[in-house]
Amino acid sequence: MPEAISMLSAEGARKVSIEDAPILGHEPATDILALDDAMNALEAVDPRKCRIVELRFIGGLSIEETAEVLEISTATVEREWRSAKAWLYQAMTEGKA
Amino acid sequence: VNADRWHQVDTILKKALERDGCDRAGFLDRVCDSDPSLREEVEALIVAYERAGSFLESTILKISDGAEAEASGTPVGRALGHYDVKELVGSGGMSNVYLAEDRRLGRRVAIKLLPPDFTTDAERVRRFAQEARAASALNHPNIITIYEIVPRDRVH
Repeated sequence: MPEAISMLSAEGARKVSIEDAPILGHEPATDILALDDAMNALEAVDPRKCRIVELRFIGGLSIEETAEVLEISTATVEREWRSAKAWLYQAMTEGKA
Repeated sequence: VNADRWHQVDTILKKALERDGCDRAGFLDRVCDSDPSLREEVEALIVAYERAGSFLESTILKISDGAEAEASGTPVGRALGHYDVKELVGSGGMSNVYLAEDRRLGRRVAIKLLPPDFTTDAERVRRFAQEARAASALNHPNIITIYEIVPRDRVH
């Protein structure tokens, strides 16, 4: 059964900042709102890629789990994932170079 | 972007990304022979892919069992609205996930706290949550459902 989750905007969220949290890595945070825009645009031309990105990036699924959920091969997920990354990265960096 | 054109670009892009160096250049020579703008589009995407690095590679949601990270100012042990926050169970690139108890419904929930910057635009957060919810509709055990968005002024 899926766990439930709640997004809260709270004082607690302000205090537990990314920088302070000890178990986090050092990767720069993705601009989630820019990603949201880019994913909406991607969905219009290629919904399957958008789905794969949702499952992997938002849902935290591995390539194998994503393949299982979408009932496609892992090779297909890998190819689609690479292409989706290229597309989204380009969409999010266009005009910022 | 036109969907048919994207399909054409995508097909070549995926094959090109499976090749490297001369092999890739030769492949592009062959398939884009009569369409230099197609090649340009594919090459721009290859550059984007190579620059993307770890972009999207770590999920915003990482559940790690029993991780004890007592950062100062942690909401653990506090009440957020009608949720009692019990423990930190995971962290993602942008947020921490806590195990909490919903006092109204008497059940355990995961609560994801987003940095304030991400929650100032309620409409966009709502749409983002909707997408996450759509992903969770697949009912995979590893997918977490967005349960509720509590506006800042309702959280004590």
